[in-house]
Amino acid sequence: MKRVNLKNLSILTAASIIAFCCFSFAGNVSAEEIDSETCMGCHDDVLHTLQMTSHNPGIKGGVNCVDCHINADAHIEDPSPENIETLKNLTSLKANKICAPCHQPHRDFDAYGYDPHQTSDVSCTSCHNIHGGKQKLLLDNNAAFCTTCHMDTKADFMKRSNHPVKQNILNCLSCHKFAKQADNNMAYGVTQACQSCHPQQSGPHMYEHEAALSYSVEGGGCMECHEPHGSVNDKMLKQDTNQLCKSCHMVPGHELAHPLRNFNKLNCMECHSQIHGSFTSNLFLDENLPSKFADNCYQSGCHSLNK
Amino acid sequence: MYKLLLTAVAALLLISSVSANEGSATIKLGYTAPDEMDHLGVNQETYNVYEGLGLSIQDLQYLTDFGILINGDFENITLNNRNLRLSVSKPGLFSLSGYHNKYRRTFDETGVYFTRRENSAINGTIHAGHNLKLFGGFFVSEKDGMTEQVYQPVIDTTTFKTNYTQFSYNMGLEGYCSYARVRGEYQRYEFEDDLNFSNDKKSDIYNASIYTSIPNYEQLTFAGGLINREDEVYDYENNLKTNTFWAASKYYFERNFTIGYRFFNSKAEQEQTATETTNRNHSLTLTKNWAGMGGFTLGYDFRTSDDETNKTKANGYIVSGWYKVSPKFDVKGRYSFIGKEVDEGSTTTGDLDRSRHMVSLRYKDNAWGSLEGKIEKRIKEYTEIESKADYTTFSSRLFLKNEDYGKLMFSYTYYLGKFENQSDNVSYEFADNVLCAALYPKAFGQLQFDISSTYFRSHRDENLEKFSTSLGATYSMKSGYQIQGSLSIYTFDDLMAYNRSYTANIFEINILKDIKF
Repeated sequence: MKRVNLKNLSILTAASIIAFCCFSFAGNVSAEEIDSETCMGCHDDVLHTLQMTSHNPGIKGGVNCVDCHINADAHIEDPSPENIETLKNLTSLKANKICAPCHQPHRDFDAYGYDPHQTSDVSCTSCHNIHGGKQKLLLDNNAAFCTTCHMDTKADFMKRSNHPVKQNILNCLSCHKFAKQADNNMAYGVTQACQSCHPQQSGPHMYEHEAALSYSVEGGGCMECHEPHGSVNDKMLKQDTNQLCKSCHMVPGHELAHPLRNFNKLNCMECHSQIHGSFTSNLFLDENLPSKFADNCYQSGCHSLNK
Repeated sequence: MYKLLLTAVAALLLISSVSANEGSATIKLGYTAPDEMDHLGVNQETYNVYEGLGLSIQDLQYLTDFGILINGDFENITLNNRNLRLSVSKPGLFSLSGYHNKYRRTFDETGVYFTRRENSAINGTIHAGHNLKLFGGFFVSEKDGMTEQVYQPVIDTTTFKTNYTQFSYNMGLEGYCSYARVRGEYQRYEFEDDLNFSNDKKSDIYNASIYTSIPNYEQLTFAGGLINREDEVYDYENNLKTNTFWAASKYYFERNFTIGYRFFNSKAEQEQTATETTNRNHSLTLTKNWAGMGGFTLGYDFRTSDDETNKTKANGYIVSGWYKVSPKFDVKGRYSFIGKEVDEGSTTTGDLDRSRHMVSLRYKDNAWGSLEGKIEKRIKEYTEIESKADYTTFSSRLFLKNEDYGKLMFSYTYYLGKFENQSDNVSYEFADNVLCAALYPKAFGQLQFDISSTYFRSHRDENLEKFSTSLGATYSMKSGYQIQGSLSIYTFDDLMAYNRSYTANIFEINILKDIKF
């Protein structure tokens, strides 16, 4: 068994010390003049839920009301609702800019991709209640608010083969990790999200199935063959197994009627069982193929085991 | 694990009660009675339903005088589909969270062949300074049981055993200020197959990333990272090293013009055979937004892949836009294309052309609801092997609300998929229809009803029909108790296989009580 690479560990440690020195002594943003107690004089209804969050103005490092609600001076002079900015009334771009200084990973959502949320005018407050509520200030713990807009996805979960979202084992945020789009997910893409629960299928392998690599020219990763929300086919495949394989692979001989079985009706995965990648076979053949089909394929003398 | 979590909750509540500030939770006690018929392995929605008495503690929130927050959700503590989650935190100082859940999947008609997955995790964060936090965690997943695979059409039935454990841990630190964030992390994955040790493997991953804008020049932002990963499969004495470098930058011009660029380079090397594969990707995007009124994105993407036998390159393009015709009506569209060419060598599939098209319309009126429609088409074509796949999706949704009557949602989705190989005269088609409806009528006094139904029908080379409906009612008593009852009905029919039908009636009754302590 190989030990942890000491050279890399040393680099990580050095980087940690430098980061600690740089950020521990960085200057703080100066506090606003109006404190939150002034606001709570009238708005004590939000105090209870705020106390349960890291936005709690009463704790060190908490958030003052005026950090998010700009134009407070005018509101104190004339406390009508028009004289204060609430995030719900702002466009997504403006609302996100108020949250972004403290929540860097969410800045502009996915700052470097094609982000449909931003162009659909979905802001932080579309999913979060900044005065508190559920975990991570979300509107609900099970991310059911996502299906308010994504009704077609909700319909996918009604299909025969699906991820256990309706059973509350997973929710949308189990896979769609918006907060980490700026690092891991950007590099490894959707495949990284899948591999935390499906380690058997995750690479890298010596012999990669190119379609399974999210950063390959095929571009799909796991999604090349699977429908993650639900499918009519087993294992959430986009099509019935053989038809799916044939959309890329038309292998001479495999379409002919085999003397023993009709290949058209034989599941490709019976032989190519290591289809996600293999350490032993560039054709992703089953490591137990000799014992699996000994009687039919090998002992009959038709096929050799050399490849 | 769940006992550990419960003990932790009890201990924390006991300690905190000395100086308790306030807390709340919902206690749920109920009984689930499933009545299932025919093939138990075809309806995934009911795989994880168990008969018995269920106790749940939902939405636990507790704040101590020391400012420590305790949050938890403990679903079905007494049943095998339990899902437990607990977090303890003091904002600005630390957070500690953990979860444990179980999930069963059934494969055969009688329910004898099934697998069960158990997931448990603990994660923690410590704020070592105002701008620095340390984090770490541990995750373990165990899966065991028997699976049964029926090859289609029914040729033979094969059973497989599954028994593996995966665990991982990570640790790292994150430094941040108002304009930047730096993160370093070490992760270790181990996979142990108890039935076939030749599958055992481990991975060490070092990951460093930075995200920053320039002080007083926030128009320009940078991000980048390095990932070093080493995988080892013990039995084959195989090592695979992957080094990934990525970088990205974005410039915000005046008038909401934005230009973005990103670069990705991944190199995988295998020591034993001295082989390597390099994947590289450049992409450039231009975005323009008219504040709240519309916008567009233009993008270009270039990818190369170089392994020991083949070299390929691909050019990709994207055009997308949105426009708010009026404050209530908006339109979105998108077209993307990628063309891959084989430069050297001969891949199995040859050149590829791939495109996606999408148009959506939405009308939303805060007074009565919304109406939406979307059509999306994906085409993938391999010219050398004369293979083509063509998928079309149409989805629509109507949402109505009325203060006097309640809320109604209705949606319809149509999927059409076709694959054909002209050289071999092989084709496959499917057409799926999915109808969903949900009704939440206005409460009758203390009584609230909800009804939802789905209907699924697949035609052409598949022939499936599935229906599910759920009727629920909640009665809220003045004493603070709630009584919930629900009846869920599921039917499934594979009209091409005589023995793949399923019917279930699942009745559930619960008593709920909100408590404060």
